[in-house]
Amino acid sequence: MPQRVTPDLMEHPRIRHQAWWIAGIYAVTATLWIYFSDQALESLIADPERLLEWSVYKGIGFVTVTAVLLLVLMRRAFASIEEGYASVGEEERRRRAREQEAEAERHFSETMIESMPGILYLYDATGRFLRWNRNFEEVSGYSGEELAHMTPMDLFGTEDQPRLQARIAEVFERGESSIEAPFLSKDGTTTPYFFTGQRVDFGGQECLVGVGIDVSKRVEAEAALRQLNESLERKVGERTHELREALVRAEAADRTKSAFLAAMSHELRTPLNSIIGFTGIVLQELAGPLTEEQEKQLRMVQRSARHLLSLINDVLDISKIEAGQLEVHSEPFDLPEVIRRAAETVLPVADARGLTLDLRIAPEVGVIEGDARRVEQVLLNLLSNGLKFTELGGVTVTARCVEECVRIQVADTGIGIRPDDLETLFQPFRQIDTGLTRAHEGTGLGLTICRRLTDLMGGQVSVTSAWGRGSEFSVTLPLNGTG
Amino acid sequence: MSAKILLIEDHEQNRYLVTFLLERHGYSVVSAAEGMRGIEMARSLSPDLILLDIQLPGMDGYQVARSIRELDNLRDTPVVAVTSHAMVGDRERALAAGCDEYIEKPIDPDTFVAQIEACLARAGSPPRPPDGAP
Repeated sequence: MPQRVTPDLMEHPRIRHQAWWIAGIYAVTATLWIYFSDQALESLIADPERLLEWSVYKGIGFVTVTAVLLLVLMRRAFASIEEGYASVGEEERRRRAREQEAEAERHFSETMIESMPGILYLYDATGRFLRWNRNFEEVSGYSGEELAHMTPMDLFGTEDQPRLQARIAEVFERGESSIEAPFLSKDGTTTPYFFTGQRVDFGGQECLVGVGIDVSKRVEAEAALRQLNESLERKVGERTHELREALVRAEAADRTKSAFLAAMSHELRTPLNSIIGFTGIVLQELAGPLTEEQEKQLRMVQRSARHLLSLINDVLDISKIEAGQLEVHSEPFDLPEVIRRAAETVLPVADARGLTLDLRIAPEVGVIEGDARRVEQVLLNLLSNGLKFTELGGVTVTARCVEECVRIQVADTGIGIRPDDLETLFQPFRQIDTGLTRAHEGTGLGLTICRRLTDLMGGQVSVTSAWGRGSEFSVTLPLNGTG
Repeated sequence: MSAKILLIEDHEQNRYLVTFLLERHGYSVVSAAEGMRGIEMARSLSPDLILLDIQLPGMDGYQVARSIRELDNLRDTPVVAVTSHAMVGDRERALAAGCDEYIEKPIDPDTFVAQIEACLARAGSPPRPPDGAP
């Protein structure tokens, strides 16, 4: 509170001094006047009556002069006092105005501080709280008196105190800092708060003014988000795990299937080895001569056994293709040689049935990239089919290059295929014209295998046919393999 | 002198079949029912060709083929894998193990002898005697 200023002119040392002087001079002057004027009158006037008269006049004159002087002096003195009082009033008014202004400012600050959503506090370098807002009391649960005897560290858990102390030191060293920490209230509950501290000069000493904001909503949202993330991650992990397990199971199933296929292949071929082998030996008459009837019947056994073998081979091939286990190689090979080899294989059949087998390989057809064995398998299939369904005429194989591919056509002069049957021709187990099935034994899988194999080699197989006049199968293979 | 063929095959019927077929076509055939015995016979008899079943009890055909290839007297002897294995890569595995040829079971007597003959011809072994000679 500012010191009160009172302008007291009467007590001014200089003026006080003048008053003594004026009074002294007046006393001396008046005494001298009375003495010398009486002497002068006595010497001038002899008549005692007249002397008395003049004495009265002199006395009246003296009093008059004195009264005038007193009047002047008192006027001046009163004027000064009046002036003094006037200036005192002005000063007082100004003082009041200043106080009101300060009060308004204080009110504004107080309102601002109190209406702040967060907490506000001020403490000195020793940690003694000097100022705080009501919110601080409400949030902490401590009364103002309690807070006055506390330090900031009392409001945090022991585990948080070291880093808080570090930040507080930072404020006093560098001027400002901030930290997020759980604010510990009187009842033991904690609330996540974000604090910012600023170094200020307060009453001549370095203090810290701080603001704390409740960030529990944000922290909760973050926690929720984190939880959501974790749950998502967990779910993804679970799904991945399930998928991995499913994959492991699928792979195990796949391996089981492969093992089954291998076992099937072996188990089915082993007895067939005896059947086909001994039938062949007996038919070669290595074990002794046969009667015509025996040979005829044994040929039937042989044909059935070979059919059964091709059936097994085709089923295994289809299974392997379906399981993605059938791999095709991509190596350069001599296509004309493969065509000739396939033709040689079926030539005995053609000869036996009196059919022709013509090869027309264009000179530009040479080495291509692919799987020679599989190409041969496809060609053998198509050639056998052609011969199988032809009674008169024969089969013609043409090969030529078409752009970046080679096209091999296997045309026969056989029974042909009905337009309705062309659509299902390449589907498994669809050997058409069931009436002829017995005469044209086959598995019904050959064309399916042809199509899958050419697909695997990046090629195509297609068919055109005229019922009763023959069919033409066309295989197109890329010159440079599957790419 | 007829070519001497060693047959390593565990299946009795198959052993009889191949032996009978080849003997009737003039070859001299000796056989073993399992791999170790087969290797011993191969070492002591130095056959002109070895027919090797892949699925053998104990030591399998691939191992037998590799062991045979390590024997000095059999370095150039043709080894033909005869197997009812017909899965992906079987042929490649057999060739990688040291076999020269791969014949899938069931064998067909009409073509089997020709295949063996071709194999022997490539290896430069003595030809079989005229057809049909017992």
